[in-house]
Amino acid sequence: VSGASTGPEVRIDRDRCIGSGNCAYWLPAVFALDDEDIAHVVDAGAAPPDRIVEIGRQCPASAIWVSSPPV
Amino acid sequence: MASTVTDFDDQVAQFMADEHARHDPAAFWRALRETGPAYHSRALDAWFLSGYDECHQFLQNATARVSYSPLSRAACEVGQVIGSFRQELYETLLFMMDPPMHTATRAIARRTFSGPTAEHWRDEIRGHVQRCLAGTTPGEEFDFVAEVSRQLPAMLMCQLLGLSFDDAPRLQTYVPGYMGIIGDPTPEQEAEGLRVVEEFSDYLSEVIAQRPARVGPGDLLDELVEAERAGKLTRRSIASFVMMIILGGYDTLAGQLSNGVWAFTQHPEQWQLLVEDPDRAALAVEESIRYESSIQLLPSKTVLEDLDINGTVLPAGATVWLSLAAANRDPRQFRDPEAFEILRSDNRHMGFGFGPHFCMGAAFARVEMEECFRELARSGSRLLPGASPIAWERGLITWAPTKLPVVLEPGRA
Repeated sequence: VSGASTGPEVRIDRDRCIGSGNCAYWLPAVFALDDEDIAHVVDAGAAPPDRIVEIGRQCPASAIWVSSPPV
Repeated sequence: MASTVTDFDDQVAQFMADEHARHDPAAFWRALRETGPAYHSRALDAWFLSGYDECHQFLQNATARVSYSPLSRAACEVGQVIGSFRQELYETLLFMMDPPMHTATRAIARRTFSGPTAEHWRDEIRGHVQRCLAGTTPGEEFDFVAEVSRQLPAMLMCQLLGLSFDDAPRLQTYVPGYMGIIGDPTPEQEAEGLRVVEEFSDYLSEVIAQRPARVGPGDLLDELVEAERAGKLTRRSIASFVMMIILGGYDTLAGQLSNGVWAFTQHPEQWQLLVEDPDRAALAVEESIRYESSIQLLPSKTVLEDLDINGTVLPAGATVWLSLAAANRDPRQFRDPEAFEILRSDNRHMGFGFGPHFCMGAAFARVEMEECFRELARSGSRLLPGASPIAWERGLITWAPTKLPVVLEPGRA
């Protein structure tokens, strides 16, 4: 699932996601949990790219993939 | 030089065996980290990871080559036989499970412990905090552990299970029996454990039969009963599952609340920062977990195949301990790691663990701690250490006060 906005491309690997909610806790404008409590991208443009990369690295299950490193 | 190494190895063995050796864990973890990010104890024939990167790698990337189950360790030790009952129990406790079973079992409780569910309970949780604080008198010393830290998780557990708050002490009575069978039980402990498991499972059956339908979204018992209907759990494993939540969520959360408040009593300038803006509570929660994790050491894991961690090879069969407390103060990861600074940015602490076993209750712990810190700060009081002495639980795994006298002094902080 990729974000619609102008930010970097952000994908969630649904098979890896454990629903920890870390991403949605720190960046609620970018990430949310769906009905199955699996993360999805709401708006990849809603936070600075480097912040998304940083939060992506904090995913305990390595389920967040961000297209390009911040410039 | 060689004698220094041996001396330190004695110190490690002593720290692991004797709570009296654990008077200053932070100093011990620092010394351990200074031996290098991976330390092999000859006396214990066990490895210790104390570096942030190394713990991170081990927990996140090495899952296929590491086992969390005591059954794997037993398999490495020729001649050790584990009874079928214990085997069954080990196969229900998430923190002792490996994929793919771990993944499937954990998914059962995902909704119950998700961020949105925790958010849903936030107002209730704030109510619990207010109720506890209402029982204290401004300007008078009280034991934060007894009045607040141990109350809040109990209230939360009862609420998630749909029990009356009066049942909280009863839940606690089953804990020692279960604890006795985890690890290396004597035959007596094993028999007693079996009795307690049966008793607890009967008690829960009664609760399930009597309670009204769904208590709320993410109602834990409903999720578990549903899993039972789907053939994923038995009644006995429902009991183990609930007990696992109690084991994993009660002392850890109580301890973390106390450790956080203790840190504030030691750093009044940090308390002042929180009083100035109680919405800093979320940051304060993360920093208090980093600074003094209630879980200092993760229960040991077994390496299944040779594993290279940053250039150190942990051999197949090795027992590995990970010090989250050491990793959380690793100067390669955190600037000025020994300082308690609630406004710290990029606080990627490892207090909730990492990888597929990342703390399942993290969202609840965050909401509970946040509400507690915020409500305390909103009073605008100064948070002072009391005159009576603090007492500590010097556990191998957990480190937290068992008695924490504090005073909320009214007036400007």
